[in-house]
Order: sequence, then structure tokens, then C-alpha cells
Amino acid sequence: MRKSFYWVSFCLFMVSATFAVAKTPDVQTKDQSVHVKVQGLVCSICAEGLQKSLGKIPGITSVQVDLEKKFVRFNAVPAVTDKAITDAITDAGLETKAIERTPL
Amino acid sequence: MRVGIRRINTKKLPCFIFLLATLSVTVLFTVLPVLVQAHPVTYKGATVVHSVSRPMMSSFEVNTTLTRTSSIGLLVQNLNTLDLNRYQTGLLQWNWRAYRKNLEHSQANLYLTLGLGGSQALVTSESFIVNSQAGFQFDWESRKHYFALMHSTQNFSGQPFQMTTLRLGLAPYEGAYQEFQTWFMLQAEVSPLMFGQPQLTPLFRFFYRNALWEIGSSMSGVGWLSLMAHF
Repeated sequence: MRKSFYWVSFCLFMVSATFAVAKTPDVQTKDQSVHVKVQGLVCSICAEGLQKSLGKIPGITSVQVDLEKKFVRFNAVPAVTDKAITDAITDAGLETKAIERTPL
Repeated sequence: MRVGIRRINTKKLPCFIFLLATLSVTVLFTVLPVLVQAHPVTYKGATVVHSVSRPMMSSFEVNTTLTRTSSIGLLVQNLNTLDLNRYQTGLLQWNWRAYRKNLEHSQANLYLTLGLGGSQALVTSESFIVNSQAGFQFDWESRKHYFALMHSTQNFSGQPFQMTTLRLGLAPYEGAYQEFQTWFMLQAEVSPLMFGQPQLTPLFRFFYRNALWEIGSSMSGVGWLSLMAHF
């Protein structure tokens, strides 16, 4: 009887773990806060270009440029790839140094 | 009949002179000349409008950045030369950013410009003449310092109009994005057709978001007013 109980508990644990793993992608569908370190960001016109260039990508909102610390921060849906971000920054004449994403 | 003579109130004279001087300078800068040194290539999709006003030359330029490294533009220019001729010019321009180096605290650019169009000499009443332009601009800037070297050559039916400009800039403070920013600039120019001798012009440059203004006067009293906007 006790052995059966252990088996049932083990099976339930495995099933719930499987569901938990299967549900992991749902977490990645949440919007992210993206922080990008940018090289060459030295003037207002560069910042304006960066803001406009990133703002054209569907799924990116709330673009904020920090000239002093040389980074740009925005919110993005997970479908926005690192390549799309890098391309937009290159279109603005600047260079991407590092991209960090954190869930919102 | 009594004829009266109105006496001028001498106390108000300095104020009147100041007002007249301000108006005269405004008219001088607005009606007279304009030259151009726009950012040749900015960010993809951007349009730049730039005018520069000065007594012997005025110009207006508009350019659109089509790709990451090139733009096309239109330059309209009015030039009064030392030999008392006056040229009106229109040029289609192609600008190419041949080199760009982005560093953490600075950037450097090398631009090349080619132009083709026509000029009309107004004083000598020459017919329309084909004009071509070639030039380069190298600049390096950080948030505190600016350096630029520019050269442009235009050919009015074999007569070259050359202009070489060197600029040094210093920002007294580092303004944040969307804050008002100020620069002190020193500009040195050599242009045999336009000036008899090299010109040294101290300038103030102001930035606010997508707009830029420059105002100054050379050591010999030649004024400079520049307006630029990015869209």
C-alpha cells in the first residue's frame, strides 16, 4: 500500500514537473525591459536618431536614451530579436556593445 | 503760422540706436547670404535642413539619408565674389560616409561629397554654366570636444571656388539629451574667391533636441548665422 502511494506521488511529481517545463515558454512571452550599451553616442542628434530608429521597430515602446551613461533602455516584446535591435542601432550610425534583457 | 521743430529726446537715443542695430543685424542675417555645412549623412531616413547666412555668401541645403552611409541633397547658394561678381548656384549632391569609428566616448567620421548642377553669374550676365562640386569633411567629437576639417571645390566654367574650413569646439558643460546644450567654436576659413585673407570666426553653437543654431562674427566683422534641423 505504502509502495503504491510513493509511486503515485512520484508520478504526480513528474507530471507536474513536465507541465511546469512545458509552461516555461509562457514566461518568455512577457514584455521585457531591454538595456543596450551603445558606442559613439556623443550628441543630441545621435540620441534623436537612435530613439527614432528603435521606435520604428514594431513591439518596441518607451525608448529612453542616456547620453551621459551611453545606453538606451526600452520595453520590447520577446519577438524583437537582438539582430533587429543591432540593425536599428547601426542604421542610426552607432554601434551596439551589449544587450541585456530583463522580464518586466 | 507757427512752424515748430520737434526736439529729439536724447535720453531715448541709446535705446533707439540699440533697437535699430538689432533690427539691422536681423535683416542682414535674414536677407543676405547663407552657406552650408550640413551633416552630410545622419541616420537612415532622416532629413536635414540647413542654412548659413553671411554677408558674402548664403546657402540653403536639404538632404535625406537613404542608407546607413549615403545621402542625396540639394544645395542652393548665392555667392558674392571679391571680383564683384555674383553667382547663383543650384547643385544636386551625393554624400557618402566613407569612414566611421564609434568609440565609447567619441566618434569620428569621414564624408565625401560630389555635386553637379549649374550657376548663373548675375553681374557679368553670363549664360547658365555647368557647375560641379567635390569635397570632404573629417570630424571627431566627444561630449566636450569637437574638431572638423572641411574642404569643398566648385567649378564655375573652369574658375574654381575653393573653401577650406577648420573648426575647434569646446562644450563648457555636458548637457543631457533633451536639455539645452552650448558649445564654443573657433572657425578658421580660407577661400581666395570669397575672402582676401583667412577668416577667424568665434561662434556660439546651441543644440536643443533636433535643432542647432550657430551665431558669431569674424575678427574682421563678418557675421555668421547658421540654422539646422533634423527630421
